[in-house]
Amino acid sequence: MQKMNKIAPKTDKSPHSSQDAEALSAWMDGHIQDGCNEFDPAGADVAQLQKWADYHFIGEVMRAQISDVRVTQTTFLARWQDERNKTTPPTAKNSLPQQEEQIVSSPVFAANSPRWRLVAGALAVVLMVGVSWKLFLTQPANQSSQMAQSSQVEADRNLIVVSQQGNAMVRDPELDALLMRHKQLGTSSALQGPAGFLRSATFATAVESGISR
Amino acid sequence: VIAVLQTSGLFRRISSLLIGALLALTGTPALAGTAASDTQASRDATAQNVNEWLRRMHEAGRKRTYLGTYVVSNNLGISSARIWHACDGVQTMERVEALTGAPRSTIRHNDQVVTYLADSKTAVVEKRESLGQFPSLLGSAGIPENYSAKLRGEERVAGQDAQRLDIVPRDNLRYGYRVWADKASGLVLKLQTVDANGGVLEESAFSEIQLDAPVKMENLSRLMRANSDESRGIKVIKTQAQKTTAAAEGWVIKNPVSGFKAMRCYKGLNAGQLREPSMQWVFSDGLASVSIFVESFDRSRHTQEGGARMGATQTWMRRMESYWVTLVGEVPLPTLKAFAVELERKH
Repeated sequence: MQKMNKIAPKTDKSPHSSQDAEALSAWMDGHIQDGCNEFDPAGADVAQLQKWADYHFIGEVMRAQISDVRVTQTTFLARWQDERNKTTPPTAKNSLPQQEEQIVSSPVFAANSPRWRLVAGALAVVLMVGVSWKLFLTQPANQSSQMAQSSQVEADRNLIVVSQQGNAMVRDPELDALLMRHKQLGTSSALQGPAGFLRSATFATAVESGISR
Repeated sequence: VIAVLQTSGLFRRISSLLIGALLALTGTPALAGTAASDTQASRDATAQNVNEWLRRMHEAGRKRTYLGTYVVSNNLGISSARIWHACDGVQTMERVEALTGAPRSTIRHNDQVVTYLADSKTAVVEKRESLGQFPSLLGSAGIPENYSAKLRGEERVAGQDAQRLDIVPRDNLRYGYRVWADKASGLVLKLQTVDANGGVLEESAFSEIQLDAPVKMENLSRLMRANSDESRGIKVIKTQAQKTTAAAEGWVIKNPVSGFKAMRCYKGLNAGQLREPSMQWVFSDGLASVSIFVESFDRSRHTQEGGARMGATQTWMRRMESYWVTLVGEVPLPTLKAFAVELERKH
């Protein structure tokens, strides 16, 4: 039987070890009965608490209570942060993530600061130059694209209207008859033997479905 | 310094690199010849590959019985059918019962096909010449010149372990194919026709299949006879097509469309319905085929030139002097247009 003191902060083992993770997981799944009181979230370090929260999350997802899970996890982390703030002096170097420290120490400027106005102005100028240059470069391409579109529209006008409903797709019964002729006498393919016949017999045209009615 | 370099391997390495780059830029004939022979050798290997794969797929249909549900889907919708397949190594029989659309039953015995339409109690009896031409197609159609084959690993299709083979066209005049073949037998379980961008134009596949099912040829034969038995009040339509040559009908293709060969030509088509086109000229590149239909121009019927796509099948219609030409094929539209441009009336 594994003991929970393997993941307790006071042990000598690394909190990141796979043994710790397995023990915590097993404990949360109720597989470890002995020593479960030895795990104290208030005294655990950041990595262990994160694992604890993650395993909670995974467990809840597996029990399909996703909405509750988010609340639980958020609540837990908020509670944990409150606890930390209470117990840790603001100036003390603690185990907060490095990123948080950087955010706290970075200078803050007001939204109407002249520095921001300068940056915004410069960005606007850069954006205008970029857009103008792009338009200048792509003008011929756009023209040809428009020509292609107009020719496509022209071609579309010539297209026969094809119904999307059911099997009677081609409204021109004469064209449908030619499609059937092609299928019967015109198909000449080495794939015809194994699959082509099945394909054509399965997907019959309107003429075949309603022949000589 | 040069002397030092000459004695060292570095000089030889640099000089060989420079010479190699120079030869590559100038395209030395000797090297070009080597490259060409390599390409030819590679093509020969691929040729054997494509043909061997097609032969294996074809043989599987002649040696394995099966029962399954077949689904075809394209831009027009989805159709499905129940399939019974029986064979004895030489004879092949197949029954296809449509599960969508009007009730119809198609039974094939080698190249003889009977399609029974239950609503109208009509049977269409026909001979599909294309079904019996498989072995000769491999040798004559030049499939390896038009397509290469790439094995893409294994997947499961309809509960079977399948190998995926991509048949890739060597130019943009034809579509490509993705084939999933049963790993053990080579039977085609799934087939996709894809355009140049890899978009699937049409897919046909077994949704479920029972290989080596007890499907009896005699049962299918009995049903085939019953479905075309006029004494049961069934109207039997026998399609007849008279063979001819395009030259005899006064038509030529000025310049062949790359990779496509003329296969056969018919006239006086009689399906017992609608009009009768005067000529059907069939071309194939081994996997894709094109039919050119030519008939007299009729102002009242032939009102609109243009085309349409139905799955992987394209059509293109145009007036040509006093004739109306309709092209149909499982090829990209530009290929049909190329045929239309090259078609010429001789007399």
